[in-house]
Amino acid sequence: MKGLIILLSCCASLTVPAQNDNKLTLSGSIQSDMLLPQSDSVIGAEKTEDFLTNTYIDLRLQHKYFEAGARLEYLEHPLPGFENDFKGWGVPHFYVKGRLGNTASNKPSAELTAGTFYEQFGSGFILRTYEERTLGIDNSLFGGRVQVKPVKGVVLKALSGRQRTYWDWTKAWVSGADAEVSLNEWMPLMQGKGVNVTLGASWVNKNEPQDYIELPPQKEATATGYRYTTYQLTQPRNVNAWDVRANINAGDVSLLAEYAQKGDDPSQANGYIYGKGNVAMLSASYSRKGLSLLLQAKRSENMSFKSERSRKGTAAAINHLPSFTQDQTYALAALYPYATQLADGEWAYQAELGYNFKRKTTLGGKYGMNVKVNYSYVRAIDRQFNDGANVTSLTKTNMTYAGTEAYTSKFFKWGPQTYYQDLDIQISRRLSKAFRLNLMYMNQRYNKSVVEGEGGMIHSDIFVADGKYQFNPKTTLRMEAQYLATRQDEGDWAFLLAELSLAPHWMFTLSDQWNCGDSDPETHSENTHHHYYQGLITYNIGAHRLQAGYGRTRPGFNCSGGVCRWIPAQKGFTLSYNYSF
Amino acid sequence: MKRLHIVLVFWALVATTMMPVACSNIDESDRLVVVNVVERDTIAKPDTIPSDTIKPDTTDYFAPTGRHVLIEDFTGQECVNCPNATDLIVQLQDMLGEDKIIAVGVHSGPLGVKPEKDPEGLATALGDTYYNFWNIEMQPYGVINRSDGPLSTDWWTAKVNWDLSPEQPDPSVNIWVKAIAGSNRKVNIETTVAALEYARAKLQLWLVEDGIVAYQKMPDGTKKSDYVHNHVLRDAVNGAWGEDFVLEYGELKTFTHSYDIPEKWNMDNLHIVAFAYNDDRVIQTTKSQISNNK
Repeated sequence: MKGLIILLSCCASLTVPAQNDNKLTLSGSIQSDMLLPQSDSVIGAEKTEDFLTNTYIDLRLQHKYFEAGARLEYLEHPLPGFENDFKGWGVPHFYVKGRLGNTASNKPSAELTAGTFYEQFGSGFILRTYEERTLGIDNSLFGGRVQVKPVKGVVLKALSGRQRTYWDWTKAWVSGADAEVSLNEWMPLMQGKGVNVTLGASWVNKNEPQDYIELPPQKEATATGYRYTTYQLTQPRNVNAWDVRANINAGDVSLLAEYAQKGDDPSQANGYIYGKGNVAMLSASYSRKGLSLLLQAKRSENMSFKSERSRKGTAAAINHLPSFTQDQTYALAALYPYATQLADGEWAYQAELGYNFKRKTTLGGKYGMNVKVNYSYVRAIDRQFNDGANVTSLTKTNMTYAGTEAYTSKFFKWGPQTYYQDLDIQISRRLSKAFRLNLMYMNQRYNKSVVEGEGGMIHSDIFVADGKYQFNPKTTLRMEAQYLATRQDEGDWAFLLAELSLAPHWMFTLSDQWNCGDSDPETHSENTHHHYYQGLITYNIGAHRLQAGYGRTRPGFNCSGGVCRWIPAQKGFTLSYNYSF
Repeated sequence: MKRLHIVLVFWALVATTMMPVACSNIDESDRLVVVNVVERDTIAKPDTIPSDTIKPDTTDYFAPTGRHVLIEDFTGQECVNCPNATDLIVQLQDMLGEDKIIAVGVHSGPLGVKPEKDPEGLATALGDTYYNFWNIEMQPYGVINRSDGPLSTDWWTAKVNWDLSPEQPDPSVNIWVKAIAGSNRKVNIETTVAALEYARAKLQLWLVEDGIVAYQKMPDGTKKSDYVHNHVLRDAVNGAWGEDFVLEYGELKTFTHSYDIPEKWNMDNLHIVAFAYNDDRVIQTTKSQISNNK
């Protein structure tokens, strides 16, 4: 490994000028997260191996007319939370690209990619392949992709490939096309008024061989006893999905309307039911100096779209639906993160207001003040099951409705359950030249039964104070105090953090997360009163970052953009190295 | 207009290229295809374990006993979806016969509850041994006849029907178990393996218990305190991985074991599950009630 790092450091200086604007460059990055685990019976951490690591090395060779890249991944002994299928190492990401013209500009150009690639059509409702390594997500496609800008304002894309699942590619072929047109390129009048209108349309096809899925035996009475019939489920070899969207930008206002629909796609996630999936989204934003406003609404139904229909978990997802809830960075605000309910569907709303009180005003004070208010609400959609049953999760129906359309749904009607709600208010204010204070209050309702399968509704109030004091240009101390109050689940939590930065190289962090409270003994008895302490030392030099630490990590979900991974309790020494060039 | 033409030509090209291969409408009447129909005469057949699993004096050890299926159901009392797997097992046993479908609930993993944590806990270290061996990561998952690896419940019906289908090889051994309980809660177990062809395998004997009333998390998230747990794996009689045997065609081998039953277990609800397995699969299995000989 050391030799490889030296080699890569040497390569970093490899920049071969061929012409002034036509040079060959090598860039890349290394990320290695390591854990020397220890058993801890108190928190339930298990030492399964002596050394665990997730290590990635990316390399990219770029030229005006071509590009090539590859990523080496070493997960032979993966970190806790990464299932056994991750075990292995290899080069799962590799590609070459050929270019004609400047693809970054609006001028006519073309780009052809062969190998593995990432792509997103529109908001990702029918296609989004991406890498999020902290969640173990890499759903890249292995195949070919072409992007053409035939004239100004028109972007055409076509692709086909098989999707990565762990160290293999699914049997299914995923193909698609996307066209996006900027109307203002056609209409000079719109350009003059600062109005941009973009229209887009996409289509995605999944071609997957039939699985041999049989339904549980169905029993009916006969004259002398019973007759049991077993059915095999016929599955569509092709599943088609399409998406249309319009994006209007006029001055400070931006509007996005998008609708997508998916054909019959019986899968493990939806209990193998037939019936079309759809998602509709409206998003409006207003932004001017010191003020921003975002309003969003989305309704989705039966939109789990995987290249392996019987696959559980996050792997093999073709599409992505944003969660319409904020990704929280504070530990306790992120304790109960929401995950989008793709198969069962949801109504989701989000409103966010940001306002900057100017300096030297009554509320702004000497240095100004920023206030941000966010409200998210996610609720079940209406579903009237054909047999009158009250079903909350299709995956738990034991294939009762497999092969049928199961239910009808009124578009604008809500279902009976709230999935998630939060109201959070953040105030950021500099109190003196050296001291900045962030305060946050969040009121949250988290339906643990929906997101995690059990646990009921958890209602919590979260308070955060985050202060940063700069002693001198090189020395800064940041402290966080957080408290989560709830009568449900594990009860109250407290969190304290102190972080000392000695620029430009050193940072020392100490934190403790403590399950300090008691929940209602009548309904919950999950209190552990455990401490999850952690100490970290970080050293930065140039493009290198090295972090060493020791401590405990609480079991829980790690989420990003509504996609979550369960991380078990862990304890031990951690080492993390990052380098980019 | 040029741009509009380009976009229209693009979509026309996509449609022309992909439409012929991208359509697969399945008529509503074709979504489910019948693969197996079983008629059960409930008047003629009582729902009990056939007595021929207990060795009578006149047993023809080599008479074909047919194919059987062993389902190792990796389950846990904290697993909300596990009762669904149990329901599926009941449905399969109802259709194909409890003597054909031999289920064992292996309480294990992070969703299993150990007695040290809760007196009602049914998980065992033995269960965890199997859980870890099969690399189980979700529950409920099942290992059926120890072939094709761990399977989610979506695949169980197809796998069971496939393993009982005529395409599968006939079992190469018959297994006969005679388990008799003495007055001191000691059970003497005599197991006879008869080779119908050359067999090199391992014999595994397990103690399983029905009718245990203990709590279980249910699919709706509630905790059912009086859930009845059946076919719960209690212990292995002859070690976690059984014992080797090699038999030529027409050979018999008898194994004898004894086991002291703990006070907490209900002797009347205990059974012996016996199976022979090799590196590829379970080649035969049977279940026998412990008879009382006080």
